[in-house]
Amino acid sequence: MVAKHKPKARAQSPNRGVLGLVCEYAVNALARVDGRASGLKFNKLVCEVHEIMSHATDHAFRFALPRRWYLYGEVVDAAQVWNIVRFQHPDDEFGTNVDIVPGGPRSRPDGFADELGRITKEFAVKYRGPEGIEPMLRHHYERAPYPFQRGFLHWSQLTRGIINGYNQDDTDAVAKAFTRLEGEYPVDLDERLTTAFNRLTLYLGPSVQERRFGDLRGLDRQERVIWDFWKAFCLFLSVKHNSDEPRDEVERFRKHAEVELVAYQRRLVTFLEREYLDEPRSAQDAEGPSAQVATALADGIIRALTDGF
Amino acid sequence: MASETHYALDTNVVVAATIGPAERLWPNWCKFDATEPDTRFVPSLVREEFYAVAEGVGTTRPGIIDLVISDTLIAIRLGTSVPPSDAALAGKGITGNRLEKVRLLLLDFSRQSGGWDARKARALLRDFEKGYAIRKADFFQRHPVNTSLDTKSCAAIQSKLSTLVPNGGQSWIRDCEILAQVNHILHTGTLDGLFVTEDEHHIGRHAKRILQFTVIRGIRDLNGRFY
Repeated sequence: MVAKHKPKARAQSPNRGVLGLVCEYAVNALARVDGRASGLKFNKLVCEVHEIMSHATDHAFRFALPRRWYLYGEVVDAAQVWNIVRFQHPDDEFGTNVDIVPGGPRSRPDGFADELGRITKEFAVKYRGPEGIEPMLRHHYERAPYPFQRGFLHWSQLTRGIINGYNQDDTDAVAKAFTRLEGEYPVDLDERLTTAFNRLTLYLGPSVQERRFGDLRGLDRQERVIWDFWKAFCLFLSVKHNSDEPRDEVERFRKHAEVELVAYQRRLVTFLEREYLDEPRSAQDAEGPSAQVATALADGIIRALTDGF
Repeated sequence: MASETHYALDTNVVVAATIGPAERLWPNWCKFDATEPDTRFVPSLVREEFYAVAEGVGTTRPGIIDLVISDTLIAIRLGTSVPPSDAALAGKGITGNRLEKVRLLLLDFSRQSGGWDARKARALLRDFEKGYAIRKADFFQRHPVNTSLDTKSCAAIQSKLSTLVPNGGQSWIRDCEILAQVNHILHTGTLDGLFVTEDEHHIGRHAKRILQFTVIRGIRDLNGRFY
């Protein structure tokens, strides 16, 4: 007879019962106002409660929240709260809804539930409906570790608003948002990401700066390739900027980020080559400007191969 | 069994061949173009590795091309009205060899623009990257990948290449050159497994390992010494 093994219990964070109650109140408050608890709002609301409670004088109100910075701000680590909430589509940060897992840990320190009810209700009402998402994200990103993240949010909201018809096209504003992105990029995150970002923006620069009014197809294309970079960027962001995550979980993030970076680099190189080769070619392109430097670089690569492996 | 080796060198082509037990597999001659810098890496897996290192794909550090373009763009952003100082560049981590390359490019851009012009420099850097893409595409067009590996021997070499290439040690490039030739020969079936090389120093040190990796019968340098 095969012995039945109980699944290994996951390491429990401090004040898990309080976290359970926070999640339950967050889901209920959002559901009461919006008719559903979207994962996007749930994450931001729980982070907001955590931020407020981390300054509470009563330590019983404080709790650990396993989370990391990702595509749309901070997200609660679904794997660490598996017995409290369930994300219906955990891979779709923007589109998923959240359900409460019945029977999860709950604890109610004196006076906590009233305070929690007030905070969650205010948040749900303030950011009601789809129109509440934009201000909610802007508020949330005030705590972002890098100005670049706020710059990206601005770029993303601006360009998507134009592409989807919510805003009038504004070539100057888009060009300024792009310049801001370039200026605020955090070069210390990972050098490979920095080089990728710089090569991408070097290519995109003229097409963003000189885009004609109404060329939404071009804008859509620019937005997509920058978003592709953002996905790779956020994986490394989550490795460096996370809280209350177990060490092995962070290591898992890191491994995943490395795999995805290789894939992204290949996509980027392919994209850049295709785009450059599609541009009109002048006789000087291959042999003209700085061709001598390019030849010298080949030797540099050979040396790198020889010395580095 | 005795083996007889023929080799020759002119300004353009190194030709190597041998006759011996391995001729069943690779009976003919192989030409290795030594004049074109890129073909120091015979078209094979190695060329992919060359460009992967250039672009940082699959490596744990940025590629050379990546760094040069990125560093130069950072320098151009820093120097809006005048070229950036070395101290400013050092503040961004651009020093040593990296600084040298950036300076070379900035100088070139200034010369082409008739003085420092950040906007023009950026456009010229973009042309530089475009030129790189064109040269790379041209090289790949001249040397298409041969994917007709179908024998067990070929697969074995391929497998050894794939494990050796990232971990080949100090003399990686020389080993790759030789391995690449083996690979090329296996593709084309044009040469017995004996090589002629001009690099006596390397062969002297690593002959045993190369023989082991490549399963070739022997190596001969240009002075006729057999390993």
